[in-house]
Amino acid sequence: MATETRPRPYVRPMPATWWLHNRYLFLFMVRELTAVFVGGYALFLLLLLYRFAQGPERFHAFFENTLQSPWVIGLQVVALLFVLYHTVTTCNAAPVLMTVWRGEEKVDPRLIIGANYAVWLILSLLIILVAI
Amino acid sequence: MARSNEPLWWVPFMAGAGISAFLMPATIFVTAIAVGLGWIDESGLRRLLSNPLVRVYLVVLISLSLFHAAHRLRFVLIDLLTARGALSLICYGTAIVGTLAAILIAVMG
Repeated sequence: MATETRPRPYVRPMPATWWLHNRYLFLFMVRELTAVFVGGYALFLLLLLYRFAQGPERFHAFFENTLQSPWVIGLQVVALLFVLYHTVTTCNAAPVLMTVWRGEEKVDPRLIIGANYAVWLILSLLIILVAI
Repeated sequence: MARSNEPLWWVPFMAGAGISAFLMPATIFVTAIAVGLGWIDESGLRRLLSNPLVRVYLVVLISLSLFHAAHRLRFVLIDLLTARGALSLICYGTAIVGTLAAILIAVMG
């Protein structure tokens, strides 16, 4: 009796380090990994809301032990750097993500990028002014 | 061809990309640097967190940032570990649960 000889599909090996050998792939992966900090900080904000909802005593302890801890501040500063990279890559990608037409002509991509940075700066100033 | 649910996740992903890009750096500046340097004290932060508009702001930022991160990290895990299976469920599930938790806490707290 003939044994079945179905060929096994070839799976090209792909080591998890494929993005380390090329500058563009590396920067792409850094951009993708900014999501760790975007998501992590979102969970931190959720914790902040939660501690506030738990009442003044829990919030006082959270403020002194967590928010003022040099480790937590340091981690947030690291997160800030990665989130800034996310902001820069998102603003720079804006003309690709949304093409704006003025009549028959595409609006200059540099104008769209500039407008995004302007909106970012204005919103950031507003947030900081309202908070402080 | 099987119908894909990809567009459904792409909308909150892009909304989250924009919202987190525009709002998150300044928010981190407030909770890390302004609090660290003492520009905002405990009572100041409590006053902010009891403001309904600030809570709406935080819920929107938390929710869309979670959906954004969920989508990106899903593809990071596929790219690095060729992960599949329950990956989508875990990623988007966290974002959905996080959103519901943020709304509940913001409304009740």
